[in-house]
Amino acid sequence: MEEIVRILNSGGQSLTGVLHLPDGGSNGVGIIILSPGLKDRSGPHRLYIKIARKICLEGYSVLRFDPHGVGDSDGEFQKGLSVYSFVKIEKGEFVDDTNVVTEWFQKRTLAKKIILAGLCGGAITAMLVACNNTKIHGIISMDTTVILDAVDQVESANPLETAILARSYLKKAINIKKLARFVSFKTNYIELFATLFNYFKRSVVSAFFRTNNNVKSKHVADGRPLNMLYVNSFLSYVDSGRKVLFLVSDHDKSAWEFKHKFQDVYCQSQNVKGCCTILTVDTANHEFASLKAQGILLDAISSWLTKQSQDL
Amino acid sequence: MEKSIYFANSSGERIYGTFFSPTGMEKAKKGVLLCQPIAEEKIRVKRVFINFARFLCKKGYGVFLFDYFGEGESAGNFEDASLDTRTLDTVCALNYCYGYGQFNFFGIVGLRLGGSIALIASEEAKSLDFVVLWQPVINGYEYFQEWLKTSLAAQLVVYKEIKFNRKQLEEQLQCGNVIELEGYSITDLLFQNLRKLNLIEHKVCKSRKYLLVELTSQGSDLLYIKYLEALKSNNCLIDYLKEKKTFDWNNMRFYQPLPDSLFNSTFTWLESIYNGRNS
Repeated sequence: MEEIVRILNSGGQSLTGVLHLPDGGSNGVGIIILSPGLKDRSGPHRLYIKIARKICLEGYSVLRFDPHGVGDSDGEFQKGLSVYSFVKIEKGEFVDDTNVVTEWFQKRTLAKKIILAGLCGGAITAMLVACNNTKIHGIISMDTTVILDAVDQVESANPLETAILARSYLKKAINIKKLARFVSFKTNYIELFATLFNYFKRSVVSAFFRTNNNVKSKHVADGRPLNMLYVNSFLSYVDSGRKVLFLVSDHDKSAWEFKHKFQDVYCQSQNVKGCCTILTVDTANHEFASLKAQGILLDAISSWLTKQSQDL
Repeated sequence: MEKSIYFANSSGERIYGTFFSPTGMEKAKKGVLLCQPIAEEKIRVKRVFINFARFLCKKGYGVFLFDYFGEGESAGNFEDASLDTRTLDTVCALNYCYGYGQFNFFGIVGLRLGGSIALIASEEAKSLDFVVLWQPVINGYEYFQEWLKTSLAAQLVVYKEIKFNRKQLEEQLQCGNVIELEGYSITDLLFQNLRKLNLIEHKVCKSRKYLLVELTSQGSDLLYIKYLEALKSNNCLIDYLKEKKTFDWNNMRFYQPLPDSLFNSTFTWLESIYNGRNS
């Protein structure tokens, strides 16, 4: 059964959500799926609805809701580059809403265990909430970003994007039609030269670091700062022994940063390893758009939840 | 006041919608049904629709916003829906609105494919006063070709090369295979519907008022000029507005949930039609 719900946040704003209740009664585990950012509670390509409907059939109560300023809820984010809003989310814009909703959800469903799930910004919010909220028993983190966005770095290319773009430009160099475009001033020269410059710079720099076995500052990911609020929340969270499932898209630009600047640095101790399940999803982009990736994702969530509910 | 509800479409499937009623006016006299785009375009512009509904509501209009079968909160999977099912859902939503309110001035506003759906559905509705088309999709095949480009971009990210070009993707559909675009499963059913879609060939009601709004950051699209000429030569009561494109349905790099100018110009046109009719 799906039920439309409205919950007031601490500022008196009405938040809209949909509660999925299993027909045969709940197994005692409830999942709250958190908005990825500016997209609403259905998630990109209705991913959240697919997840919610599947796990609800397996006996879990599920709530998807729009935080303030998103979807059907009250409030508004200001117009401008979306990255401004992302920065706010990375710093905890939706933490208060999520705490209020968690309280409401527990009372409404009588869930014995509550798990927060989210993609991208939703994964960040989940961690920021869970570190201080002992009602949360687990986290399903899909493509969390560990780097703090910054407006002046919006246009700076990620290593993976740079490599793909640079290779495509190099291929075009042997295509007569594309060359004609280049000499007839139809090419975006700024983007072209910036990409190639970044690509060669990175190639040289990474070769240098490989040969010198050097390591850059662990708090800086390729020149972009780690979100230390997220990192500290994670360390505090795993310190309590609670579990987290990290689902990482193999073709997401944030995967590189997650692996090299977060996983390799902060997830190596036995205690932390015991709390984390890290699964890389094949053929997946940031939003798990491929049908194959969606299948893997849904199965992974389902089997991890089964393990968590067995501990009840 | 905002009230979300579920109602059944013609196949008995559950459709999600929200009524926006002006404060103190449970039964508004003026009403609008909003038709959203489909797939990821719908998700990207959701907030524009919510804000437009709230904007009109403050001006005394009752507004109904709904999700087609296979989209948003409605039942079903995207791959089971087509242009035909969406049109039927829109007709159902219209009938639901008639039952809910006591409107004496009522019409539809639709964006992109939602505009095209609004126009097609309006053929079935006799008592509509107006249809507003915000950047409607005139040619379904061209629209689909643009959409296919997202598959090429996705292939480059995942495979570092284009494994299937647009022609091959079309062939896959025609062979009964499902292809993926931006995370949505696309079937031949939707493809064939879009392929047939050509608004220029669609009938319009000559006693109804139409507004075509072109949202552009450059010059006019020749297809809109052609469409406008076709409607005018058919004695259609159509007005045309060119508005600056301040929000994007293709990506969310820039966020603009409140395109004031579009809201105001549409409202001004609605009021002029309403006042003209009542004078």
